[in-house]
Amino acid sequence: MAIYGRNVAALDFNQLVEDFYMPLYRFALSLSRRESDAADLTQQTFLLWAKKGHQLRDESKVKTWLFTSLYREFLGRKRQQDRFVDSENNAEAIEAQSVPASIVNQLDGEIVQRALLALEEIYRAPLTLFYLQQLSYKEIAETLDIPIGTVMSRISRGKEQLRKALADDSSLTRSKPEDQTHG
Amino acid sequence: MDDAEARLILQSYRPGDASEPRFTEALRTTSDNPELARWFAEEQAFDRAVAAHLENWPAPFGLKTRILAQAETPVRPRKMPWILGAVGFAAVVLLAAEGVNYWRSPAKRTTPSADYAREMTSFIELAPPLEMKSEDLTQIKDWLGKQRVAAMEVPSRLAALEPIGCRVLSYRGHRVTLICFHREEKGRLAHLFVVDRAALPKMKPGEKPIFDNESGWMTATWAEGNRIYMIALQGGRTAIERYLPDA
Repeated sequence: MAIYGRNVAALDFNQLVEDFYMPLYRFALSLSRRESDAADLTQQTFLLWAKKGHQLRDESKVKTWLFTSLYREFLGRKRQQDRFVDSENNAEAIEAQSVPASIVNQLDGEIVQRALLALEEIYRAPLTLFYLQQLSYKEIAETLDIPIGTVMSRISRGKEQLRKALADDSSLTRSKPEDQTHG
Repeated sequence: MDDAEARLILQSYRPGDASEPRFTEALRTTSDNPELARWFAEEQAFDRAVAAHLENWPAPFGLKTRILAQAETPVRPRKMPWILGAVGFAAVVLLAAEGVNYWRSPAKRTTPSADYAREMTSFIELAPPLEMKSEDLTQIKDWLGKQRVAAMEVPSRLAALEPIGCRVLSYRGHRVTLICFHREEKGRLAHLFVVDRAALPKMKPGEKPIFDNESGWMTATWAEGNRIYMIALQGGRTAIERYLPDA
C-alpha cells in the first residue's frame, strides 16, 4: 500500500484505487447488503474523488475522505429509498453467547458474512470498519459522524449480536446456508 | 476499573491500537486477573477469525477495471504565474473558436444516454452471473416483482425471444433491471435494461431512440412512461432496430 503523506496533488489515481477499492467495497457491501449496490457505491466514491478529491488539502485524510464519502452516499440513497428503519432505541438487549474462536475459524465464510450482514445497521457499520482495520477509532468516529465513545459501545454491542447470530447458526442449524441473492 | 468495565472496553480493542487511554488501563487489569486474561485472549482470537473472513469477501469480477474506466484521473487546479495564465487564456479562446465547428459535428456530440450505455455495456462485457435463470418470461417478471424493481413492459419483439434470465444492477443509485435473451442468430444475445427515468432525466417520452455505439456494443435507449429502456447487443444498428417498439 502506498504511503499517504502530504501532497494530495501527487496522488496517483490508479494506486488509490488499487489500495482502497477492496476495503471500500467490503464496507459498502456491509452497508447495502447487495453486491450490485456495493459495487455501485464503490464506483461512485471514486467518481466523487475524481471530481472533488483535489479539494482535499491534507493527504493523510484521503482514506477517511473515501470511507466518509461512501458512507454519506449510502445514507443519501437510503433516505431516497426510505426502506430501512433502524433505531438504537428499539435494539433488543442481547445476551452474549459464547462462541469459541475455533468455531468461528471453522465456519463457512458465507455464514460469517450472513451473520455480519444481518446485524442492525448502527452496529454493522462500525463493526465492519473495526474488522477492516483500515481506520483508527477516531477516523471511524469521523466517518460515521458519531462520538468515539459511541463507536466503542456500538462495536461492543455489535460483537454481542454477531456472537449470538453465529452461535445460532453454528449450534442450531449447522446446515448449508441457502443461496444468497447478491446483486 | 472493575472486571465488567474492563471487558466492555477490551471488546473494542484492536492489537497495536492503544491510542485511547481507557485501553491502556483496561489492558493493565488483565495482568492481575487470569480469568479476564483468558477471556481477553479468546476475544482477540474471535476478532482475528472474523477479520480473516471479512478479508476474504471478494469484489465482483471487473470492479477495479470499471472504476478505472469510469472515473477520470483527477484534474487538479494549480497556481500559475499571471503571465502564463493570460497566455493560456488567449490560447483557450483561440482553440475554442476553432473547436466549435468540430464539436458541432453530430458524430462527436455526447448523447444523454452515453454514460449509461457505456457503464451498462461494460458490465455485460464481463459476463456477470445472472441472479435468476429461466426460459419463462413470466417467471422472470415474477422474480423481479419480488425484488421490488419497477414494473416494466418488455418490448413485444424482445418478448418473443427466448429469455435466459435476469439480474438487478445499480446505476448512480438507481436500480436497473437486466433481462437477457437469445437472439435468432445462434449464440447471439440481446440485453434489455430498464431503469427509472429519474436516472436519465434529460430523456423524454415520445422522443426517438438514441443510438450509441460503445466498444462494439450497439445500444438503443428511449423513454417510455416513467422508465428508460435500453437494448444492447453486439451488432449494427439494423440488428437492434428490429427489436424496437414500432420497428
